[in-house]
This record gives sequence, C-alpha cells and structure tokens, in this order.
Amino acid sequence: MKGIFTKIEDGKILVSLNKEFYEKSAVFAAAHKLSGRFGVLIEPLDERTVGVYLQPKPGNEMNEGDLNEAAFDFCNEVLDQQIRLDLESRYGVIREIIVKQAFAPVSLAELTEVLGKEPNDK
Amino acid sequence: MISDNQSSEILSSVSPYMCLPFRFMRFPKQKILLVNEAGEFLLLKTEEFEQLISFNFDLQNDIYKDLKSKHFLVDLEASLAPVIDLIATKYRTKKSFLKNFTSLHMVVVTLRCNHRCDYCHASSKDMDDRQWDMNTETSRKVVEMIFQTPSPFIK
Repeated sequence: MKGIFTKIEDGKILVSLNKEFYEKSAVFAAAHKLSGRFGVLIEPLDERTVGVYLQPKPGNEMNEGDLNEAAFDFCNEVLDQQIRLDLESRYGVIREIIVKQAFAPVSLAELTEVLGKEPNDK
Repeated sequence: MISDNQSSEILSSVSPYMCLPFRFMRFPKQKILLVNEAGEFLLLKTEEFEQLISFNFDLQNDIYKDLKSKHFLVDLEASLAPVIDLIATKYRTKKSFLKNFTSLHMVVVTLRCNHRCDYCHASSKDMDDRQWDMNTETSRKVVEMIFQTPSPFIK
C-alpha cells in the first residue's frame, strides 16, 4: 500500500505512515477503532513519517500472521478515514447547503412565485 | 439556495462528474455500503468504489446511473441547484420528526429489577432495595416537565 510500511518487533507491530498521504485525524480515527484489541502508541518517527505501534492486549495474544492481518486491517482503515476527510473537505460545503436549505423558511416571494399569487389572495 | 458562483466553483473543481456528500463503510465480500443525506443507499464492489472516488467510472455503466439517480453524484453538465433542491426536500421529509419536538419520554421510576442483563446500563438494584424508587414529589415534577413539551401529541 502506498506510503505504508510495517515491521514486527517484540510482539508488537509497527505501521509507518507517510505524513504526505495521511492526516493526523485519519490516523487517530483508525487507531481508535483498534483500541479495543490493542494497546496503540502513535509517535513521529522522523519528519516525514509517523509510527503506529499495535500491541495485543493481555489475553489477546497473537502470532505473526494475526499481527500482519491486524496491520493490514489498520492500513485499510486509515486509508478509508483519509478518503472520508478528502471527500468532506471537497464536498462538505454541499452537505451544509443541503441542511441549510432543508430547514430554510419559505419566503413570501418564493411562495408567490410557486403559487402564482400571494397566499392570502382570494 | 446555492448561488451560481458556488455552483460553478464546486463543479469546476472536478471532472467528468462530481460526487455529492455521502458516507461509506466496508462490508464483507469486498462490498462497500454508501449512504447519503437523502436516505438513499447503494452497495458497491470495491473496484467500483475506487473508480467512483478516482473519477474513472464508466459513464455508460448501469451502476453509474444508479449512483446518479440516488444522488451520490451529478453530471458536470447538469445544473447543481435543482439536485440540491431535491436532496434538501428529501432531507427535510426524513427529518420532519424534529418539528414535533420530544413526544416520547421514558421514565425510570425505580432501579429495582429481578433481571441481571449483561447489557443493562441502569445498574439494577435488589428487589427489596426501595431507596432507589422515585418518590411522589419527583414523579409529579417529571409529569409536569413532560407536559411542557410543545409536541402536539402530548396534551
């Protein structure tokens, strides 16, 4: 996956993410989803990458295959979260317009235009 | 109402169609569920979703037509204002319950319970532990509070 590298050490897996591709809030949202099964540590590795360590919680021991699968799931999740952010930044304004328009009061001018006369006209 | 300036600004930012706001979630078997403000939903295959968000969707594909008819995207040559009008109308209908204010009130008059459900949030107490019952004074205030609602369904 573009911009993502993984490495297993001491029973935990490190996922390195390129900051150029993934925002902080996308990484946090994805990490939070795994916090039920893993202890999650997020720290900068260098100027361009951030590291996410996933360590299985006690009673949730995992072999290498399971850890790789969890890292794979995390990678997909962080990608999804970043797509959500991108879509929101691009089209969020439309969502706001829809909600605003849905609850906007109808003006007399608009009503007159639709009805062809003022509401109280006989 | 969306202005012409807003419309052209949004439409000029993408090609050959633009997506409308939606939410998505991955499901098993390589499926992705899309939902939007109008209450519409659609299940896409992963590759279809990737085509959608990378603006490579085949415009003649039936799924593309489904996406368009369910307001997940709009053609560039189409005017954005009437589409937003339509979605706003559907949104208003879907949220129409809001104008009636609160009409359902759930009152917990006691924490005593003879069950011990794992999922219970109420911290149930023993059946003879009567200190957890709501007293008459509080009960009257609760009823008065409920009748303060502007909801036409509570009279």
